[in-house]
Amino acid sequence: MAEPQPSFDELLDCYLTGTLSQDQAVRLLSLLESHPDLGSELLDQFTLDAKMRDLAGQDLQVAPPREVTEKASTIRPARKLPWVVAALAIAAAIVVLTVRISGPTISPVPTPSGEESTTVAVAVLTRTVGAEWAEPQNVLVVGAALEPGWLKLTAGLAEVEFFSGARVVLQGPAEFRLLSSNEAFCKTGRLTAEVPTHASGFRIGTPQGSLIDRGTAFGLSVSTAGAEVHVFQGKVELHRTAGQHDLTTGQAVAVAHGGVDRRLPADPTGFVTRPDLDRRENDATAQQREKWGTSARAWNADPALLVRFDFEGPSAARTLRNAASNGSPVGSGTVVGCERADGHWPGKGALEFGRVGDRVRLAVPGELQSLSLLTRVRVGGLDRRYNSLLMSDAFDPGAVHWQVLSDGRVRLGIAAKPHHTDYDSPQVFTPNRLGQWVHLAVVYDAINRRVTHYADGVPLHRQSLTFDVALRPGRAELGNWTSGTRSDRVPIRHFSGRMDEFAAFSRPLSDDEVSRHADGRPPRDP
Amino acid sequence: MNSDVTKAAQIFLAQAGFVRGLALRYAPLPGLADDIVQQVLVEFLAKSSEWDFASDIRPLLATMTRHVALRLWRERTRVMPDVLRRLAEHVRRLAEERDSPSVYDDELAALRRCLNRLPDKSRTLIDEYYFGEQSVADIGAKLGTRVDTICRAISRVREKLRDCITRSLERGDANG
Repeated sequence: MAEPQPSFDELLDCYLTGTLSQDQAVRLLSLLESHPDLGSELLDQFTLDAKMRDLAGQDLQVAPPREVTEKASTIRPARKLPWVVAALAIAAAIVVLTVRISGPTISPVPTPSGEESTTVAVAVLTRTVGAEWAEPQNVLVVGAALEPGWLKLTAGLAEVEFFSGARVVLQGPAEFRLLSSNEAFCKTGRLTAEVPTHASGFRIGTPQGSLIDRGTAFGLSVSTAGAEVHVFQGKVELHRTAGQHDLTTGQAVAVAHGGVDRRLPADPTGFVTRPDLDRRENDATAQQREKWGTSARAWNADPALLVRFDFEGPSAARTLRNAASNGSPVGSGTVVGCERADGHWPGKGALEFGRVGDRVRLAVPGELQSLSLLTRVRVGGLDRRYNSLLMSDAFDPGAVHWQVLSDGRVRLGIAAKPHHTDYDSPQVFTPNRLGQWVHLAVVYDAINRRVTHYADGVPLHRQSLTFDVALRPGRAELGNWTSGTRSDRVPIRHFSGRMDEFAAFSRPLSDDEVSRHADGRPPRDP
Repeated sequence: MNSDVTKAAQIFLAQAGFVRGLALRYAPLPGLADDIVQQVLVEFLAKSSEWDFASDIRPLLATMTRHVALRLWRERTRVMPDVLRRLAEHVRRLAEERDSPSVYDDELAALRRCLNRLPDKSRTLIDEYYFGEQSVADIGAKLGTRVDTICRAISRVREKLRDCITRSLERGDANG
């Protein structure tokens, strides 16, 4: 008996997926020629299919480090084309490479266009413990605003809070795709979800069906063999192409690939709850503190270290101890106004700046030929036109002014008479980067006659020195500025956010040293 | 020069939907639109210093897209078996006869809205096929359903989405 002819819909699917055989092509062509209305149908389906694949092809872009991609994302936030982003990255790399290869030549810094930055993020990465990501170029940091796309976690734990209020703890290995502020797709992996009532309707698709939450806590495990849904509290609907399961507290269902669905009692074993996450985070923090302490002792002994504040100490202390162990003449810093807060891990000391008066006073005496400044900050918002990091008082010759501009660039200003020069970085802070801990550094290198800006240990921009001047930081402050007698148009320059480390060296640190400092590693391997 | 590249890249990304819409029309072969848009981008960036960014860039992009689409179409169909090439040419003629304005970005935004309005069963099917990257054979095997039935079901959902997009654009629904 002859096999039945494939239907138009089957032929269409083969056509759209590029799997049409020659026999099928003959059949499809014959149908199109004999039924003109099918041609219109095919075109409609082709166009819609292309758009669906375009949507599905969107990929994760989180706080891209290069200015080209950052600006690009502000122009057309509704769409991301992975290959376009890749191509733009190449274009951006050309810019960066040109700067790096050409060495200390003056290179133009693209000025932000003036368009207001925006974001298409749908969730925030709130906590990680031992997280390892499949794409090294897309390592996500806590606080990262997450745009629609894949999260590919190869190991560890990651907590994601959707803008709708739903909270998911992913257990690696997992492939999890953010679709919107109240929707995701889990291809493989294990997760627990807590969905408050106001986020009811939170949806997670899987290869075996879609979960719709009705305000609850549940666990989900997805593998190539099938999926299991365990409801710990509330109600979950599992929609399968073949039907629907309504699960309530204490119920579970196992969905096997090609098999029969089985109802089970819910079993939390193997699913990470929030208390589990708290405990593992505490263990990880203890290890991190030990590693950081070892590294800090090595940095403190560097002969060129002028001052290093680690922001540790009693919560009531109103001074920051200079941790330098080399006899540096720089004394302690005096805290004015700021409140104590947590740093870039729970329990790490930091200061919160936010009010107009908040600052840390210090004095860095003497003249310097070179200077390296490093800090770790969590910028809450760029409220002021100039947001101070380290600012010498007033504008005396040799004064050093390190600040973040309202458009997200970082500026090192060096005062001199008759010249005053600003050395600007490309845009570092975009909306998606606010609220994240970022390591910033700038190296004023009188030997090689250049200034280099860094973010998270990566050199962003090099610029030649425009004139020679001895640096005199003198009396200065962190997070604010005292303008002195100068009648300045922008005297209020306080910083909004947290700072949990600051260091100044009287020599130019190398790229490797800055990278090591940013990573919490010692200046050199033991 | 580098600032030209940066500027060109930004402008192109803002117009990528326009280029893609044209690519689908000039060369309606599955998967080819991606290659066309990428090639247009490469050529657009390569000559970025020559463009006048102050004027409307769309006519230039339209011309570039047409040339690239025709070139890639010829390259792609040249190596096809005869019957597949004849089928491709037939579909291209149909596409040329259509006078459809390129509102690709608006349609894509409408598609996002329409996806959220699908009934759960339809949405699940679309999730599995497009977002879960499963074939109709996979879905059919999992459900114990004929492939033809799955193909038909997906086609129907696409029809629903197309109708929804048309209505949405006619009403002028706001994006987002």
